[in-house]
Amino acid sequence: MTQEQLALALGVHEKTVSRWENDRQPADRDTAEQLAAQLDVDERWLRNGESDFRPEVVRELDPPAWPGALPQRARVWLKQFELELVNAGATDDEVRDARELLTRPEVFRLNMGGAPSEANDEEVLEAMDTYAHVIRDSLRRRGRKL
Amino acid sequence: VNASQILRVIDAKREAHPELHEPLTWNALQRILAREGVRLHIRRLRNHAQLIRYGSDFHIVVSSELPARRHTYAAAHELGHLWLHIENLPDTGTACFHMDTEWRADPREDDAEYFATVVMQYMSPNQEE
Repeated sequence: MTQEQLALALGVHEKTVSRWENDRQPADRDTAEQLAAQLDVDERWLRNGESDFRPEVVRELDPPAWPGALPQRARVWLKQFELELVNAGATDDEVRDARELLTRPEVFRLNMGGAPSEANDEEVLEAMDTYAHVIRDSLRRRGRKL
Repeated sequence: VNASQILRVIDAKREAHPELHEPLTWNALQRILAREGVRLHIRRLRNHAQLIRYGSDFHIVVSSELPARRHTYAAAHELGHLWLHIENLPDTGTACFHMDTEWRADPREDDAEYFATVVMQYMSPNQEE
C-alpha cells in the first residue's frame, strides 16, 4: 500500500502519512486504530512497539540489511565497496558484516536523523564513508590489502 | 546500571588501566583504548561520537567538528557504553552498536554521561589540552 492510498483510505494528507512513517508526528489514538486496521497490524505495536506482534514487512526491513531502501548512488557505492573488500581478500563473513553495518537502520537514524528514503545522497554517502573508514581499518589490521 | 555499579566498574578497571587513578587525559585515554583493542578515529560525524562494532572489533569515532577539548569527554562516554553496556553481554553475533550523546531517551546515555564525568572529574581545560 502506498502513502497516497493510505492517505486516501484514512482521509488525511499524504504528507501526514509521511510524518507518521518517519516518526516526526504520532497519529492520535483514533487514527492509530484506523491505521492499524488498514495495515492489518496490532495497534499497540504500531503506536509504541509494545507487543509481540511482528509483521512480515518489519522482519524484512530489520537487520541484517535493507540495501534496497538506499538511494541509488548509495547502492552503487555499496556494491563498489563490497567489490573493494572482496578484491582485498575479505572473507564472506567480513563482507556480510560490512554490508550489515552500512545498511542498518540505526546508521540512518543516527547519521541522517531519519529513514534512508528521507536522506539525500550526500548525507548517506558521507555517513557511509565514515563507516567504510572503520571497516577498512579493521580489515587492514587483519592483514587484508586495503 | 546505577551510580554505585558504575563506580565499581571503574574501580575494577583501574588495575589494568592505572590512568583511571587520575583525571582522564586524551593521551591516557588513547593508551587505555590501545590496551583494550579499541580503535579511535576522528572523522566528520553528525553527532558527537559513536561506538561502532564491526565483527569482533570496536571502534570509537569522535566528531572532527567538536573542539579538541571535548574529544576526551566524547570518547570517554563511548568507552562507558562499551564497559557498562556491551562488554558483559552474551555474544551478539554480528550486531553493531551505535551510541551517541543525543539519545536522551535512552537511560544508557545517562550511564555513559555519568561514567565520563567520573573518569574526567577535577579536570581543568588546561589539563585536557
